[in-house]
Amino acid sequence: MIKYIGKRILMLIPVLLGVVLLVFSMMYFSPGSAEDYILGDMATEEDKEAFREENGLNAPFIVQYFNYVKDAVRGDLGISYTTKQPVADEIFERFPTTFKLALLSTLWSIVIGITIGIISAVRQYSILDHVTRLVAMLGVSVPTFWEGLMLIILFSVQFALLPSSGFTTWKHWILPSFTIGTHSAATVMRMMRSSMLEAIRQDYITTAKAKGQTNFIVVTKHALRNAIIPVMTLVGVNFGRLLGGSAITEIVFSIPGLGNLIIAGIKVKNAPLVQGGILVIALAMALCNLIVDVLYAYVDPRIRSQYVKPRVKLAAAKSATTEEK
Amino acid sequence: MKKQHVVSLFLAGAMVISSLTGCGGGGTSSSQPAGTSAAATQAAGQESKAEETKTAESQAATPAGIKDTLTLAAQSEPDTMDPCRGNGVSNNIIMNQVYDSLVQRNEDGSITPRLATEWEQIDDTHIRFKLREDVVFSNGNPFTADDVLYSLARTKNDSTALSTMSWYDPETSYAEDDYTVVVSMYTPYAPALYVLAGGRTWIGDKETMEEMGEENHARNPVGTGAYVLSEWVSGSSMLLARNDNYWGEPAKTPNIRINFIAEEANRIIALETGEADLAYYIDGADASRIEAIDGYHVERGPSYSYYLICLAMDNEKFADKRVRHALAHAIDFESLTSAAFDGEATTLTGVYPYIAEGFKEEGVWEYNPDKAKALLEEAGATGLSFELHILPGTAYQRMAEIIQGYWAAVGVTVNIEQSALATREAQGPWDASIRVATADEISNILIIYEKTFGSRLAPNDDWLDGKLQELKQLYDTDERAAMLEEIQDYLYDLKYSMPFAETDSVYGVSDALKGFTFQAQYNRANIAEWYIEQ
Amino acid sequence: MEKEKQSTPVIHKKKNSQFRNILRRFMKNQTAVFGLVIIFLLVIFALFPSQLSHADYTVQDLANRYSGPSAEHWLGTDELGRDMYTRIVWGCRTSLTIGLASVAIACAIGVTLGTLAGYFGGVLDNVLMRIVDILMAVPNLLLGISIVAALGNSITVLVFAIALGNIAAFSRVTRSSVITVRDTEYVEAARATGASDGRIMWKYVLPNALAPIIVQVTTSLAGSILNISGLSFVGLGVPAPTPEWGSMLSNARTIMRDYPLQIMFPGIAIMLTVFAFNLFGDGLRDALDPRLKN
Repeated sequence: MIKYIGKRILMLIPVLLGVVLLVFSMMYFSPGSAEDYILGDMATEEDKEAFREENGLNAPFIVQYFNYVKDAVRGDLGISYTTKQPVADEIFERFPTTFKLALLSTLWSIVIGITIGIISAVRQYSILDHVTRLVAMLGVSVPTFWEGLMLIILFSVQFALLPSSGFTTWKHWILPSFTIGTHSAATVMRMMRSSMLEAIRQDYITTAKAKGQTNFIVVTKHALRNAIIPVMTLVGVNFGRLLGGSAITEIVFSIPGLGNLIIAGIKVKNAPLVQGGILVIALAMALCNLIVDVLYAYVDPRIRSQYVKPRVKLAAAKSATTEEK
Repeated sequence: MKKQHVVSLFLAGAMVISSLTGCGGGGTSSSQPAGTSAAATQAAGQESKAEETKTAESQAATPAGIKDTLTLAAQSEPDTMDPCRGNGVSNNIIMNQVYDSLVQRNEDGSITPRLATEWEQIDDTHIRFKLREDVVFSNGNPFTADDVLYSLARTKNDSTALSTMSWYDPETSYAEDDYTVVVSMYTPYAPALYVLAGGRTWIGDKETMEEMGEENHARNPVGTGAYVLSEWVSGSSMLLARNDNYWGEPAKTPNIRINFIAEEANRIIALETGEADLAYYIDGADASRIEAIDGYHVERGPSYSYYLICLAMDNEKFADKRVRHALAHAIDFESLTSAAFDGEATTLTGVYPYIAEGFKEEGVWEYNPDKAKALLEEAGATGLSFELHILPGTAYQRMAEIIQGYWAAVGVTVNIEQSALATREAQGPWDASIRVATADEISNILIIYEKTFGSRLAPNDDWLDGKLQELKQLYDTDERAAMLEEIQDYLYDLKYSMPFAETDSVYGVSDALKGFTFQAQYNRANIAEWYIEQ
Repeated sequence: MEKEKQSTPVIHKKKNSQFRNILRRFMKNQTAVFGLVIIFLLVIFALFPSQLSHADYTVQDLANRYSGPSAEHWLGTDELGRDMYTRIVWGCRTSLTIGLASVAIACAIGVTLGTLAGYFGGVLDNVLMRIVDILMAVPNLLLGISIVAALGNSITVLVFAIALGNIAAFSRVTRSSVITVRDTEYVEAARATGASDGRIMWKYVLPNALAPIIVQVTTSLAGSILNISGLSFVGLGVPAPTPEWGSMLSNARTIMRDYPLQIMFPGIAIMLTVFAFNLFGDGLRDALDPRLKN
């Protein structure tokens, strides 16, 4: 097990280096320069030159890249161009907020997705199956910002029940997490349904039914226990995705999360912030996937023997995930 | 790379779980990455202990019946509280409360004392300021002439402020005694007092800044203003607490919370739900919505912001004046303004906002598409085609599409390019662009026509440049008025720039809020006088 | 999930009867058929916008803005007095074009990467999959925003930005299907006859991976259309005056409370389209999933 985890962590290194390279080159080779924005219209050529010198922007690409990686290994992600504060500080100030939002959204997606998934599996092809699936599907078919705005109008303005922006009390979290939660609920529902359908058809379920146990007990006690494993894998992977994918909802609800910070950074070409932010998101997602895989392997004995090729399963789970749109 | 991040991430996770209220630690909280516990974060979030006790005192001293905390909904978060980097309204809304400047610029453009009690123009390039002797910074340090020289020199050296301070000579400026400063200029500079009235020229404490380090001070500012910054939740809000060491009339309300809400619709909703007592940056079109909210109303008036079409002066396509005139004749500026701002903006009748110095009424350029076509033909510019650059935002997009429609009607093809300033902007001047301008002092308003400025207009007009330099050195008001008239006539005919709409400054205000006076510039708002009786 | 993928491969010869089976299962699924019908209608709109609405979607009528539905303007007019119906119809073309183009690009690249990685395995697999991991590690929306912010928002850039985010999913799906068939006797037999690797991949391996790829196409299409609207929301969508639902929605959000219809129509258009692709994809997935037989 330890060996497996160790190997997975080692494999992360080239991926993270690649992520940094991708974002770094995007920032580096794209036209336009940070100094023009940050120094403003008033800046003279000498100011700009001084800025470039100060921020090491005159060095060749590869040197800048390696300098960045070297510093990043030591936990130094550079200084934000706009606030002049260490990027690492800014990110870790925002990270808990995004983490919490992802956590609450995942809860919503579990509650909604699993409930609907079970119902529609148990009552396959019934009216209830169709209706609940259609509703879940509709939920994932609207842009998140549209859904967010509608929820604000409904619950903040019309009914005056919930606040529309900020993140200070528990009430603030309901609407944003629900907005995101409904979006990932559909994938959870879909997986729950198919996994449940499979479980229901297993022999032991038929046996249990034959032994006269009520349908409810059969479903909750026997089928669910087996069906839930792949669903939890998906939930875990979804959670990782949400750590980086809730930017738009954060903007709609004025939540100071990481995505919000990065988008603001992209708009002003604040390269250190964007690089650092995306690196941290990639790392968080990767760790999340790792934990999911390890837990999955731990829970399911069938998988435990397959350590050799853990990627296939992960790939399958990942291909089914969604991200906020 | 791994270890440190892993640890930090887990700590971050632990923080979330252990603190229900969410721990947006402000200020320095995260300089030890991710803190060690939620408690530590929150303690750090409260900033220095000195300020904390002050907050407590001020609460004790509050006369019964005044609401303890006013909540304001602002548009964007300041990026720094460094006194030399007050570039932008969002920074200055806060800095104007935390810091003081030497002098104060009022709504009518007059200059009155602030940290300086009086001043005299010794000669064309020297001004002597007498400073208040009873001022201490919020941490108790005395305010002296050294702080002024130190702060101005920092501004002078800061790359974002260089051009504003180009006139200022730090070498020959000096302190005559602890409370007398002589400000020296390289060349005569008429707007000097304006520049010294805040913005980039807030006065910080030399001793504190050197002690704390500039970066740290930029998050935990120490000033002489009516409020001190007591909490800064990155990306979300700032809390100001009354400064009881303040030299002037103490602030009316003990605490001011400023929430940063980027979406305008959400700022209005914050008023509707009672989450905020006042909201900045309201679109004129939403004024009626705010009037409809029980207990709120709108305070609005002319501002210095105006929108203009810029044609690049160095672009061959626009070299013929007839082409520029034709492009202007093709646009119905009144309909444009009305449609772009839903009837809530004023069509400009001159080359800059009418509340600015020396405004001359030039009239609205005649809408005459036939004449436009004729002029284009005359100039041999039929089939003219160029790109029109706009910044992100639906408002810009709407303006651009209307203008595109007008120009298409006279046979001019325009491609709209929308991108943020930082990205494609630097690729070189755009053929044409739509921009907003917000400066309130005349030399700053006209700076877009200066050759060294390098704006969207790509200015290259020697005559104009000369006049603008001359204007800066001109103290005599009559001569200034005459020169301004000349410049405006010239610009109006030149038509490289087509200013078209002035927008109002609009505040959504609680009916209960007392002491509010309208300010055209949001950042000059007199927050210290605001209060709500309970 | 894993098992699902393993059981999808289909032996080539049986393809016809298999296909008929799948089709029968699909047609039984009414919601999926409903999705297909909507998609069909959308394609008609996208192909013949000038026949089905006005030919010029930029005609402005500044005196007649925000008007409600009428005989002249079926869905009313927008903030510049342009006919909403016309812009919705033309917007269909924009959204579908960007969606299809980006998914096509992503599919071509992703499937190639996935096939190569899955078929050859070993070092090549490792290298290619690390590249895919890299793309996967950056959230689609942030990736898209960075690219558009960097290169400007032309339709080409948008297509590229959205395609890049979709590559990873395609290569993973393809790879896992390819792995399950590459060692089958059937492929072994082909190899024994001396067929080249390229031929084996094209003729024998890829067809068996087709089903999950098609499902991925529908999912990616739905996702891409939402992604465009996300980019529009942050102000980096399709450049004006090209009508696109996401930007129409984004433009209308400032006035949505005064003129709710402005945000309703493009919202419904997006919802219906994404919904249709999701329904279709879901039905297809079910039809292809042997666990869900009977």
